[in-house]
Amino acid sequence: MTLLNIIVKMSEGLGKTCAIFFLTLLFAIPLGMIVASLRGSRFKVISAVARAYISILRGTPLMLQLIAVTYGPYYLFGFSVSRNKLIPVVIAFTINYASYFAEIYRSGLDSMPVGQYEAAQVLGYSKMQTYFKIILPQVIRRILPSLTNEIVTLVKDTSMAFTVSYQEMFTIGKQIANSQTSFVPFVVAGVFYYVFNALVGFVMGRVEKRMSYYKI
Amino acid sequence: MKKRVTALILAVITVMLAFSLAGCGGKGGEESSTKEKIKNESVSYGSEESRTSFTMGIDPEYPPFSYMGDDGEYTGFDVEVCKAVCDYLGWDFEVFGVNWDQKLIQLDAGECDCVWSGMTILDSMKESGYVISRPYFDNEQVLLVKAGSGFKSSKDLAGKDVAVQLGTSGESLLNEDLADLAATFGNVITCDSFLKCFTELEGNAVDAVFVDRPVADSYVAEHDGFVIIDEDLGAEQYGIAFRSGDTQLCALVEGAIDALVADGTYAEIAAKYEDIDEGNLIFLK
Repeated sequence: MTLLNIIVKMSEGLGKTCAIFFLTLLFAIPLGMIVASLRGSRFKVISAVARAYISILRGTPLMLQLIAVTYGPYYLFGFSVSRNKLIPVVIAFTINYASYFAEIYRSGLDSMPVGQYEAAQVLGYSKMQTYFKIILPQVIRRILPSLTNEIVTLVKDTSMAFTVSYQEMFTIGKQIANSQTSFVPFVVAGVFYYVFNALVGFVMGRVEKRMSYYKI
Repeated sequence: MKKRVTALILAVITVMLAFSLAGCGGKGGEESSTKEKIKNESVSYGSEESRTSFTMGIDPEYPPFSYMGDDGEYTGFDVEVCKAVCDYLGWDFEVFGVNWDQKLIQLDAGECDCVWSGMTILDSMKESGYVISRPYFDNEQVLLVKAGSGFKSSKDLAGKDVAVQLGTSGESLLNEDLADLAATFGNVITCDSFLKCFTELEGNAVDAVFVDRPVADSYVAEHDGFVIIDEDLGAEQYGIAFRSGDTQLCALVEGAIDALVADGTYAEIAAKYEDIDEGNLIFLK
């Protein structure tokens, strides 16, 4: 198998890697915000539930969560294991990453001075308006570097989907490496991940620059 | 403008770096020379007379050949035979659980002294220079399906999903000799262990598992509701793999096995494993 063949074969899996990546971001970022808001809730029960969620999801390995989400429903309730592995994979990644995003988001919220809320109130902003027009844009600006960090990790973590037999890029790489007794697919995988993350870094850098408007 | 130029230069460097890295890996010469180096180093383990311990590389999830027993210790037919070989030769016996799809790399790296775990002898192993023992087991590949699923032959599985373990001879077969059959399947799913393959089957995520006969027999014996499709899809033989240059070690182990066969220990061990058909054990024929 030539280098070109290996790259082409692995590129086919890259689509599935991207599917995990984008779908996870799409669901985990809003879910993270919701969890963070619940954690800050005045109602002790809600706040405790959110804390427990973060504690458990952050405190157990993603690999275990993947297995639990994929095979758990079958072992516990006798439901069929999903044929389309993308569904359990994205659910597991989303609930896991949401817990991290929630904490990042909370750090941003906590860093906002109370004066901002007071000023908004004086200017006649409603609570919703204050949150979406004044607080949120600044929070996003502040948490972008930590968010980028987590997103970069997500790119690399997609290789974990192999645990539940989802045929993403790294799984295909392993198959080729095994059948060809060659290390080349691993080098290719490394390059793929690096380029992917370089792109993520570039895009996030651009976003950060855009948002520097909100810099205090 | 200046920043754009810098960004462009950085992008070009990234791409160049990427290609040069890929290029390095692609050059067969360099790759094999490092491989050769590793192999030569491992040969320097020295003469076999001074050997005091022997590390066996196994797939820890491969019953009945190698698995974790109820007491938490590794056991299985291959493990017990190897233990007896070590006792016979006066070596300390050690077990190392390999990552099955990396087994030969781990062997080269010296993490174990052999791979001995229901391992099918492939021509590619001999071509890569590994020392392979005499075959000790006649195996065939079969399809395991759920009872009542109505699948009677491999043809019935056209358009259906089949699971196979990554790094097994079954996977190689589906890629090579049985590629035509594999093409009729809906999807071929590779799992990182057989237990996951079986879970996929139990949970209806796949319709069949392509697996070695004794592993399937062992599973059917312990779990209700599964049947083996009676169709021989690929005959093959198990052997033990050693690093290239370890011919002396291989000869010692083979000699010890011969002695165990002669004094009946080998047959005794085989008798403990009902799922292993003695008719397939080459040394007992």
